[in-house]
Amino acid sequence: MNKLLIENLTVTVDNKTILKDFNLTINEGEIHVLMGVNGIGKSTLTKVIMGDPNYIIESGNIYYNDTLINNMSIDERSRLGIFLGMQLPMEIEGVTNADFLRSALSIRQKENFKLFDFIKELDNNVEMLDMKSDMIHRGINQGFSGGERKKNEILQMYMLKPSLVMLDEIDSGLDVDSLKIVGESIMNYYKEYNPGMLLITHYQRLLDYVKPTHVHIISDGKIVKTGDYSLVKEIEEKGFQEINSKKVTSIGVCAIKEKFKNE
Amino acid sequence: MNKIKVVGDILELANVSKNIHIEYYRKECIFGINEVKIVVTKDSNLDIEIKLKEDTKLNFSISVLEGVKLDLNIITKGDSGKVQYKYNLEKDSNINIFKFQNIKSIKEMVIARLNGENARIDYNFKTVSNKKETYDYHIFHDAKNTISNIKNNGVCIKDGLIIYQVSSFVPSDITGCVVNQNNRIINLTNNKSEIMPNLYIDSHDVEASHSALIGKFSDEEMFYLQSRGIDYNTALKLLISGFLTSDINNKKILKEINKNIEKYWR
Repeated sequence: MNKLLIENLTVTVDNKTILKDFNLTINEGEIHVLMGVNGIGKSTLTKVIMGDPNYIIESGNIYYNDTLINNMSIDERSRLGIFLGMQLPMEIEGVTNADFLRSALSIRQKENFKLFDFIKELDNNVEMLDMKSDMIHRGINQGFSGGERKKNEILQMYMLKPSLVMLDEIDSGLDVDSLKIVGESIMNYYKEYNPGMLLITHYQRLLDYVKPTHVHIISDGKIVKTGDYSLVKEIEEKGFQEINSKKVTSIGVCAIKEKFKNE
Repeated sequence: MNKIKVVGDILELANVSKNIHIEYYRKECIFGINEVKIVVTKDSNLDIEIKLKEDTKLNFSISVLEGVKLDLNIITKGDSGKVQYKYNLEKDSNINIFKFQNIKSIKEMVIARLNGENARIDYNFKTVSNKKETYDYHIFHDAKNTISNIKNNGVCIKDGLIIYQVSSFVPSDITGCVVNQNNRIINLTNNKSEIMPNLYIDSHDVEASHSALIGKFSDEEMFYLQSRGIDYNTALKLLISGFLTSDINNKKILKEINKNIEKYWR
């Protein structure tokens, strides 16, 4: 049984503490949604799980399947089955999507890697996601729209078949049709492979397709409230501040804008 | 395919059509410099392969006549030397250059004269530097509506060091020109490479841009590739391959670049 366990995690970035004594457990087959105002540490959590060296673990532990991964390299974590679909996927000139994915898979599969099977599967997934067929021969995310970049993240998820999927605002930049395709693709992946999932989103619309088992509100570097899908509805209706039993002590710039707008 | 091969002082020609006139002057004639003069009279492709021997001195003069298009592919290998290329482009002519070199060290000068209206040069150069390489470009827009796109990519390894000095000139009475320079060096050494992009533009009606970058690949790029399970060395190799092969569509040059990538980043 695949399991992510985070214990008492404190993380700093540029000497600022973002996560404080943070705890979370995600088991195989669970879909967790993390919500909260901007700049509160949601993306930080995914980056630190993935091993971004800019995020410093001051204390606490991250385990995946009982293996302590605090000091594990980024690529080792990925090969353990951890995947991060990024909020702002990088554009990398010259490295084609096909070469990139072929490298990633041939490292995982070693002598079992079959080029023909790879091409066939890639073509099928490109079609499923309604992506342009020539995109696999273009540089990674080069000239892609915001929506195409997000679809490309889902394509990579399908090709790499992770057992822990983290998707950071995968719904941002998607039009209605693309959101439907991406949302349904995530849910189909879940049904087929039964991974643990951690989704970060600001909106309910993604959750029309991907039904969470757990919903968390993060504030002041830790989870302040956990519930089921009904909590999402409550957030939509009341906003974060009213729901939080604790006072929200740090609000990102966008959150402040939203607050003024509402008033 | 028209092909010129220069090995040290020896010039070899293969399948050169009558559309390309070639004259060769051995160094005994011109102060110790081997000189190749080329005149292209009709649309052509030309491959030039150069193998430098110790301190080779070599000049190329390449003229493209009115209305003619030349696709030129240059691969340079071998020791060290001084090489000069002079390109003369007449009205409505067009030269598209793909060039790769992997040599011990080189001092190179490129002079392009866009003599006739609507003349255009697209220059796409890649190098892997093991020792000092100096490149000095002079691009003269001597006629209206001329276009120059100069793109230089270099990777420094071992004792590598690259200096790009790129100067583009547009006089005051020349209008409607497009002048672009794009110079990038990935420096994997502690040596100090330099880029000096110069735009000497006296005309008010010109579209011009230049970009210069010296550095390593970004942490974000490495993180993205590694987050898909690709180890650091393979990620670096992928990035270098992308950097050196982007915009190159000549198979021979791609093969040569890939051969070098396998050699240095196996």
